[in-house]
Amino acid sequence: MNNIELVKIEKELFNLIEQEIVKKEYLVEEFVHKYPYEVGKIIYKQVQNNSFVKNILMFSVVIKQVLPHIADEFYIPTLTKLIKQEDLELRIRYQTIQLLGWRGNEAKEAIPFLLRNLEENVSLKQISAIALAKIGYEKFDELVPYLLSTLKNAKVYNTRMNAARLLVSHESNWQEKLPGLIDALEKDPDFRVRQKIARYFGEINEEGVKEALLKAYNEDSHPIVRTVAKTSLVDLGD
Amino acid sequence: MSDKDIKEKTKKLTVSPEFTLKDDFERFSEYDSIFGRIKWDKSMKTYKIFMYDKVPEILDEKQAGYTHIDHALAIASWTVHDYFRNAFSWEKLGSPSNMMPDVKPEKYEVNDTNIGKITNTIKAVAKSFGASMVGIAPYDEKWVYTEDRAETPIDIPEGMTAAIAIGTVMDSDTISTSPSMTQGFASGMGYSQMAFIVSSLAEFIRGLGYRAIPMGNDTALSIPIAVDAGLGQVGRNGLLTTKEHGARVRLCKVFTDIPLKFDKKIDFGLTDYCRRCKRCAEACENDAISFDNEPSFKTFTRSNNKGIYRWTVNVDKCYEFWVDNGGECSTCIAVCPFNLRSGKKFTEPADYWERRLAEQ
Repeated sequence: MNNIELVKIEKELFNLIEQEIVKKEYLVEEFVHKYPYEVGKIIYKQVQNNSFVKNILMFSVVIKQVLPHIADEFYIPTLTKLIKQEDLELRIRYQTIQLLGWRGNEAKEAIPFLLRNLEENVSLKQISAIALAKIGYEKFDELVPYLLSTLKNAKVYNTRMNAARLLVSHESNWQEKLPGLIDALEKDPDFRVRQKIARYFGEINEEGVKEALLKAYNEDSHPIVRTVAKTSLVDLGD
Repeated sequence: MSDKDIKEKTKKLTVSPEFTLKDDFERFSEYDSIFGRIKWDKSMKTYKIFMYDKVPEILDEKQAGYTHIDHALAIASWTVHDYFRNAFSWEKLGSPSNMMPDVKPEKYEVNDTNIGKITNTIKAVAKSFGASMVGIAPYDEKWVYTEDRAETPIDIPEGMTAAIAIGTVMDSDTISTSPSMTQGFASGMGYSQMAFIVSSLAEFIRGLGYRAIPMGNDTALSIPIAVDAGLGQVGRNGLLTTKEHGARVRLCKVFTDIPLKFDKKIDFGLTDYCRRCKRCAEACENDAISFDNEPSFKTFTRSNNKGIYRWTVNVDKCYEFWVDNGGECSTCIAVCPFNLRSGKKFTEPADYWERRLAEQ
């Protein structure tokens, strides 16, 4: 494809994005699906364009309808290029980190930039810790305090659930991890998180787990948590 | 083979709409489905534990979504499906209450000039009976179960040429309360609607002089038939996913020998989307959905059909949560971004009831 055609595609892409901001018709994703390589090339180039990445409405369409469909060779590089930018808007940064985390170890090149975000505000710290754990950051133990803090403090239940899942996924350092998990089983305000932890506990034969499950079975306010705690106790041989 | 080579090779494989099947793919036996195995497979954690068995210990009047009313609603929504005994009859329905003798006109002729019209008519009729979407695929024996849950062989009569795939969009208000018993209403309604739609459509086709086999979940795999019929693609959560409603669609089908035109399959980029999105996997109440970046031929349980390239769901784990939940779960359906295009975000069951009661 020559430059003239690429320019045409770029123009059409941004026209459609602007139309999509006014009325959702999902025409952008249809368009990107036809030209995944070309659009990938365009977006990769564009992320250095400050006005582009600072336009939240425009970027929201890009996140939802463009990025999912661009060619593989541009996906991680685009996200990594984005996350390197220091003045990226908070919501865009958060979503970019989430997308990187979902790629797991394919996103290893983003690790240094994600580590930087561990020193940022609370929500970025939380999502970065989760992303680093998913990507397989080799110093997992360094992430444990951040994950425990996320489990305790994240506003969104799903983020807390992710933290719990990642904490139990490593068979190590239970002494540091368990108190936070037990505390969450008892006190997390969302039953979905508590039932998940109760379920995970069915496979963790460590000190304190059975007592925590028994307490949940006897005292939790939600019937699902009580039921799952009971199942987990049976799984542990009680 | 190096990782790079494997990646290159698997890049060419597709999940849907074109299925990638390996040599070890075989037609599936419904005896091996979850609902078949719970009756005979002692290796299952949920052997002889049925979906509603834990309801008495789960019901809690202090917990919205798990009250007696929620459970009664979920069960009642299945009424037409459960009590319309002949909904899925392979034969023409007869009724002793018919006052008028049945008239048998000549077989309706379908030829090259009117096949398009009759195809559209079938779709229009299905929608009049309540279908939200209708697609038509060639009859494909590989999606037919070899036997039912009771191990009775399934023998589709010779001459079936088309599979009419039907989807009904499920109620978003209740699905958005998942996990809860309340959301069981959406599934149950879907099943009851399906019983009415396929039985009526089958009677319509029979009225034209052709054969029709109406089916709910039984007899054949609804999802690949729906993909072949152009209704959607298969998502990370293993369900048929449509562009407008995600997987918030109940499927059923009718096999027939009336000549019909076939629909094209659709590809709206779902596989690429699912590769980069793991919302359903993260939200799944029992981690039954794969977190793998790429699909594969992996299977987890006997209830996974071998030899199909996809993200395979550990259906044993999925069902384990249904039992603990006192009924089905639709969390993966509810959180899917495609569902959220037309459906609602998570709603607390208490808020759902507050709104419904305020409307009265």
